[in-house]
Amino acid sequence: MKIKPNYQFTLSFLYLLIILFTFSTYAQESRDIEGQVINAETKEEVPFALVMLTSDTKGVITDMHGKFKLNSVPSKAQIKVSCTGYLEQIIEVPSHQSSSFKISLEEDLVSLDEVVVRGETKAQEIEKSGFAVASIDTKDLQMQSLEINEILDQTAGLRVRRDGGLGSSTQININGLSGNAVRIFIDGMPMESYGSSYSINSIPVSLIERIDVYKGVVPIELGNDAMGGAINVITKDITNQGLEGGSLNVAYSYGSFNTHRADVNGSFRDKSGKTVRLSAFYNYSDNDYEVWSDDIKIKDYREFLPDGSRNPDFLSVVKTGERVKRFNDAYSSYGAKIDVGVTGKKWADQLFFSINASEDYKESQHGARMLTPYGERYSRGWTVAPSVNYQKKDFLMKGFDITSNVQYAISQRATVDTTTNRYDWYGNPIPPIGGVTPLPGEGNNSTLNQDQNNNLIARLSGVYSFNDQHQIGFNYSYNQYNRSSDDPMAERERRDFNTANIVNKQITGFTYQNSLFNDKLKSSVFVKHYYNRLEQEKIEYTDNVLDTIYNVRPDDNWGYGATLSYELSPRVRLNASAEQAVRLVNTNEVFGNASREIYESADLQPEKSFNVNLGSQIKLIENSSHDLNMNTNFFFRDTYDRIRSTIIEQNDQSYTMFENIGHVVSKGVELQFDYSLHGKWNFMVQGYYLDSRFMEEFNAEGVRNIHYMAREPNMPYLTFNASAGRSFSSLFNTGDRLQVSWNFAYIHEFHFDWDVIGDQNKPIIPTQALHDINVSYTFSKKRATVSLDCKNIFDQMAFDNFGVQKPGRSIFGKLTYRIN
Amino acid sequence: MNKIKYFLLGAIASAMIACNSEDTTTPENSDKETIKADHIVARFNDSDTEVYIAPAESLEEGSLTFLNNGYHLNPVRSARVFTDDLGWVYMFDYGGGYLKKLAYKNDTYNLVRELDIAPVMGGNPHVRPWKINEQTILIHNINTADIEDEGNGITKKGTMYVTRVQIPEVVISEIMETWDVPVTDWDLTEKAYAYRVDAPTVMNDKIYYGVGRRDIENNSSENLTGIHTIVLDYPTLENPKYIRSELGNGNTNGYRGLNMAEINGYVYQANAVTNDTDHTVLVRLKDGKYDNDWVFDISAAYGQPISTNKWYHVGNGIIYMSVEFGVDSDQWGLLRLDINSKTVEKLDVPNGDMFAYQTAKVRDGKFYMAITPTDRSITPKVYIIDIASSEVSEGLLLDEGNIRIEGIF
Repeated sequence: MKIKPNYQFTLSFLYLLIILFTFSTYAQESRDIEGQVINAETKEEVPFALVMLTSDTKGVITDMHGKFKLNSVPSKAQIKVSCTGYLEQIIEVPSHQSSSFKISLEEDLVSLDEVVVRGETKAQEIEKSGFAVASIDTKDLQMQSLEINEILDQTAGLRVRRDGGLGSSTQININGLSGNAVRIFIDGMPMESYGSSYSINSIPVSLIERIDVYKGVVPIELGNDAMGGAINVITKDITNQGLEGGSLNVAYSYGSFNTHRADVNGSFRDKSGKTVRLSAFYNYSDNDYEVWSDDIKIKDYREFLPDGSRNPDFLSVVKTGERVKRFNDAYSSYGAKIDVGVTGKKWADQLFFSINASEDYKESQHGARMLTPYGERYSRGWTVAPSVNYQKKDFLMKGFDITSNVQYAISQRATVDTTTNRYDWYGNPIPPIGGVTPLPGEGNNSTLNQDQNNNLIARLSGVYSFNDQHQIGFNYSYNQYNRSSDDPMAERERRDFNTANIVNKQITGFTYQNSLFNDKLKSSVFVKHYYNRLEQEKIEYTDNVLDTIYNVRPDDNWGYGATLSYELSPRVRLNASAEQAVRLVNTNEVFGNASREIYESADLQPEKSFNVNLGSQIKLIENSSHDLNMNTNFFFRDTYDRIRSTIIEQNDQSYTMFENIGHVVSKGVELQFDYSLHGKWNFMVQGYYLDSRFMEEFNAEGVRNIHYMAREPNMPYLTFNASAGRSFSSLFNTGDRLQVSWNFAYIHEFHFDWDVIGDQNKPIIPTQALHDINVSYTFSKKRATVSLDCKNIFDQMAFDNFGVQKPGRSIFGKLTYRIN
Repeated sequence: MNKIKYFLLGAIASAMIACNSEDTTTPENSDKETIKADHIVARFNDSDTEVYIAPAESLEEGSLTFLNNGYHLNPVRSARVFTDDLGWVYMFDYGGGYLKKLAYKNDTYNLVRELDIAPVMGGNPHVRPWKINEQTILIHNINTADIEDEGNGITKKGTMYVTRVQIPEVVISEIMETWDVPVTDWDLTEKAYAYRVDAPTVMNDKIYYGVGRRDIENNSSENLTGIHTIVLDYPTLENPKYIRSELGNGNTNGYRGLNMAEINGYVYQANAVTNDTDHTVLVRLKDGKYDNDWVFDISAAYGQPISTNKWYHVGNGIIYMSVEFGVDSDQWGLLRLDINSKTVEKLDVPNGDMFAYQTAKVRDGKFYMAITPTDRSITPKVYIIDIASSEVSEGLLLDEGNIRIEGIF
């Protein structure tokens, strides 16, 4: 293990950042007037006060010592000084500047109260924890016809890469890490434990309170090997929905490609605290959107011409880039969750028994690229997952809060591909070709593969608060996962492989947190232990006799980290976090899987990464009419033993094999501005740049890598997002609300392969500029909302992955109705 | 505040640029002319899917790099390349199932035609191509499936497919009637089956295919006996026969290259031995049959264990053979064989890994082959051998590092 984080670099990066921050506050031109803003009563310096000319819109913000410089100030000008918590002051500029030019501000107790009353949302609170986290409050997004993936995609530093329309597989990229390095949780429970028929998109948006996106450094409560970050979807707390009574929420949306999405959720609670909650969803789409990339090849299937001679164009490509409709891509999923339990008991603040059941059906239009269309291949899966959740504050002693969840999920997935038919891009079966028997199966091999999964996950976490300032916490998660596969269609020697895959994963974390100086300084340190035991049973020939081979590989790894958050002023908060994190290996990667043509890689090491994040949240302007916030995040990742799949030859057959490619260093920056005007206009602009380089100079054989220091391929590295929205209140009726918003996404082109080799016909995911528009109207009693979403309005060719086109222009309407 | 303004301006500007950058090029290639050139094909980072082709101005001098140079053949699984005398470049996309034709001019490659071969190969895109002559590329394969055979347990059923493609037009001109490889005594005895055909050679009205065999239980060719060929009538692709010789042991399909050739009225064939006891031999065929009276024991003549998967007839019964000095040693070199005198001589080129190397070039009495020496202190380059004198000289310099030359085309 060669973990040698470059601390020197980290330090210099930090130093640079500090310089940058200090510099930006001093960086105004040094002419004309200088001064200092102080508290009229205490004579304390007032940092981050806004100082501006009344005749101009230019302004500066005072530094940490309350000092400021204003340039090009005309004589007899007036300057306005404002700061949250203080009364605004307008004064005349003194005719002769003196170094002791001081402006005293009086505290504004009334407006201070206002601030306190307004408080902060949980999402804002999360963002102050020191972690590099974006917390998305979904309240405003609920009326839109958006999937969670689309909401996530609008978050700085995060890219959701999809393979097509509704139900297609997605890959989440956080600051340049993806795949198994990024984990998704629902209320702290790992998403994969819900089975493959329940995706993040299955959760109705109306059921979601907020989504926390942890970039890089992940708190111990999320007990998994989330090296690249984590997404935690927080569903609404039942106990917050009124003391007694019921509520019902119904939403339905319909749109392009015959897409239906419906969800209903309701809850009821009686006086004694007995609570029932039910939620159900149904999604369906034909996904018959048009595709027209160069991968769409139209061939001539006429073997003979009408005169009986051979057709010279038989099977040749006669057209490329033809606009065709996808025809074997339908998707449906439905499911329900019931929670029954009690709240507010002496022995439990919450005790819930839940059961989650879901089923899905997904047709498969093509393989990894849109090269050959499939007309019949599909898969089907179901999951049943009962669970128990328990929460108690002051458990056994005051200040000790515990939470525990146990879930057991049984799931099954079957892939069906047995046809001997072949299809063209128009969805027509290709006429049989004389004398040639097609092999069954449209994919590489015919299959009736069935995976049977059992997954037990148990979690216990506790927090003990010594007082308001100091807390210790622990989290333990236990996960036992068992997969067995069988494919009656596979060749015998393949079928005999891989009778069981068993994973035992136990992750333990301890943390100490404190909050000092009136919550201005928050810090935490944590340590995590990862235990990962992989087990595989497969049948192999040894000395020409069939025998079951047991492979076992236990792994132990440690991770640790710290976070720091400092509130310089009510307007400025700085965050820093660092973690040594681990991404564990899985059974297929280590032991191989013949039915998926994966070759074993017994020495595969877990991926390890040292992550540093430095961020700030600054309210640049905050007054009755303007609100401008800036969020920045700088990150640095030093990753060793990056895992990558490769293709190898063994006995003249090719297999996928996982290997550690070594050292990758990533640096990046995110920047986001949010501006609101009179609470009616909202503007957002954000940018993201990632510089991820391959830092392994020599390969395992000692040969020089000519792509040393090249940009990591297949990774979006430059993106922009912008949005603008306008809301109108009481437009037709008192209390109604109309919202119009526009969202723009720019993704700069990136290479699928290493960009330094070759220069023609390189596979590139092209630059994209996509525009979406949303209009929504909430009726005056706030019960019903109708909305209209138009996505990709200019019908651009959109790609997230090489050669797989996403839908063009599409329109969805949605109706939401709420009864309390 | 200025910073924000610039940021916004920048975002708007880039949005506008992005809106204008919509792809307006048509998929139709305007440049359909081609000129004859020497092309070098290289595989990057030992990845079969990252295969690049670039022209070489001269094989004798200068240097060629694939850093920011070369056309990405971008196959689904791996790329097989051929060229013809008119200057067309043919690429078979193994895994994608397409035979593609490229035009080359002014350092630029243009795709001019694509033929989807999989539908006539049982729907299988994992099939093999071979250019027979200036008019023909053959596509061939054996698809196998398990069958329950009473008395013999589970056996393999092999089905052979051959399609003849006419070049330079790239038009299907003949499709072999699907043929089930017959169950033979030698396959039953060894619980083996024919899983691959390649390296076809046409002589008179017959085509000879080298055969790869594997045992059912271990999926391995190790220690199987005999040398095998499948013979068809040509060009009708009819009347298939599966034949065997006892003159040596090992597969005859070669690997991505020439392992059979017609020399003076016979088709010569070598075997790929799987251990250091078996001998690498040359045997020969005529009129669809093995000539059991002739064998050239190369291992005995050389005096050390060797194995091969590729060789080149450079004229007058002289063969340059890529050999591995000991099975799985990864140390390959070149031997000069004379089939007339049955003599062997080692050529003075450095050892390298030639396992997957596709092809060398014979021109004007000289033999050109790119070698990446095992000794990394030697720069990979084109080695030029004077066929008359066996004298070796050094030519075009190639990239150092994790890039491997697949051949000169």
